[in-house]
Amino acid sequence: MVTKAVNAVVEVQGLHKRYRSRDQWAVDGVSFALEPGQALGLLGPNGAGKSTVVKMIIGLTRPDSGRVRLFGASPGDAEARAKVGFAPEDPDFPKFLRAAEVLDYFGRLLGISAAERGRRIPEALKWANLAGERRHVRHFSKGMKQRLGLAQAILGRPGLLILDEPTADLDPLGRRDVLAMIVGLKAQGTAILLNSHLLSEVERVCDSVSIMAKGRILREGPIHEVVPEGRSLEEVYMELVEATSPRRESNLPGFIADDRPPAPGVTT
Amino acid sequence: MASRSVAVATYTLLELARRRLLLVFVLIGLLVTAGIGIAPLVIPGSPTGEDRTLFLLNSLSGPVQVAVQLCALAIGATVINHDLDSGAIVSIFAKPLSRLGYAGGKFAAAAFVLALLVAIFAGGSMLVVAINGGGHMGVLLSSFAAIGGNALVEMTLVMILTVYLNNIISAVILVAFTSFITFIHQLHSLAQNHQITNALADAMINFFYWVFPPHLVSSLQLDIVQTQLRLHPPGTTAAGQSLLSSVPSASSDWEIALWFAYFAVICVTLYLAVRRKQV
Repeated sequence: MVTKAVNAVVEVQGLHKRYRSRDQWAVDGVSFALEPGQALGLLGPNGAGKSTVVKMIIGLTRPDSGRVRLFGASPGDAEARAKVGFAPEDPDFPKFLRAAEVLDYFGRLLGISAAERGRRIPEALKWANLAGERRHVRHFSKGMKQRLGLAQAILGRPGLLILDEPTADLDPLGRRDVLAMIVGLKAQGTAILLNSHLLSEVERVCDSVSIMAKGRILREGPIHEVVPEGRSLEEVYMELVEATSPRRESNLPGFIADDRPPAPGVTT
Repeated sequence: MASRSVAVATYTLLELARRRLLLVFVLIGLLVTAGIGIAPLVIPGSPTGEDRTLFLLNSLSGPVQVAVQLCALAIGATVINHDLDSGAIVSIFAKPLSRLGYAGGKFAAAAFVLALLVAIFAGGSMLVVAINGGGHMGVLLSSFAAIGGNALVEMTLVMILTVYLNNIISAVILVAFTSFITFIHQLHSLAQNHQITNALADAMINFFYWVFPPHLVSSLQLDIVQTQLRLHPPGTTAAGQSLLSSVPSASSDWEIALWFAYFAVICVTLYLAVRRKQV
């Protein structure tokens, strides 16, 4: 795993963040770097601090301390931000707009020319299986919003694509398309930061992983180094994460085990 | 930055144009205006001549002001809050768009729609007065300028509140605030006319009057009362003076200048609220 890269697309050093002074650190000393064409899987249980790291990278949240460099500039730099594609978890969009209008709006925010938007938007909509969709976004299903979220993330041909749970609401075909897209973009030199709970997907498309819990990176490196021969990423992940917190009981709630009254007509 | 701000404004306008609630408020306002205009033409024994104009001016000012205020609340309470509430703001702020560009684009679109609605109501009211004989057009126009100015402040304040609060709660707070300001303004008018003689009460009224954004007042009400006194003189001059002193006078140049200063502060506050918002 690279922690100091010469041509880093994104470089994060010693990030710290907590939302209130009495809270625990949401992010506690996270550092990593990502080079063009690399895919990094950011893994961890809910509340590990993955989304906070992502928000600090794209400038949505300010770190308490530490440094983020995006294409060599600060996250607030408009030129650097234009090179980032971001598909947030549970994406949503202005609710009275249509899919094509959302892409045109976001394309204009990215500074894409009208002619180029005219070429890219129909292709992006077709890829997202939303071509010809005339309803307003407020009538979209979660899966449709997720596909639109991915379409807007790739619209600017990003140098860095940040995907936060990109396949959570997609059907198997949609998932396949997203994984194929990640592989294709990687081949073209796009750096990918993938934040996902689906470890099998991470194993398929990422070169390296950072496993986080309680705001800290527990282990990081190329997948073949993090996952020893004969073990799976899931096993390593479970072992590391469970070591940071008491093992969760997987027993069913007591009321499930209560005797049920027999169904009518059934004799016991 | 300007082109990105224009993109925000353009698509905000498109969204506002698709808001049915706004359309309902506008339609109700226009229907009430038309109803008030038609009533004197069809109801036997209705006032005639300048009395009819006064009747129309009196009848129109209330409903139109309410309709404009409702539109201002409907715009202000949703224009930023919809993006925050839905989470769309995350995707928007991830783009190379400054917070100033976002706030500016949103405000420009909202202010444009509000100005358009005020113009529609003003046009409708002037048409109604014109088909009933006309007169007092200048003062009617100035009353819409005051209504528009007050609505603009209310809309911007509710936009600020919705950065932090639910939009319904923001609208309720704003309605309470507006009622308070209007009440203070009426008390101030009484104090100015020496109808409140207690020094402490006078000082408190003055304090509240100057510490909050001025509520713009046109000369419409004063004009109506002066015309009524001319058409139907009271028994004594003192009675006429007493009637006039109960009517709030139009905002002075100094009050209008102060309104602009307060409005500038409110706009800066809107920008700072959006700038500091962590999503």
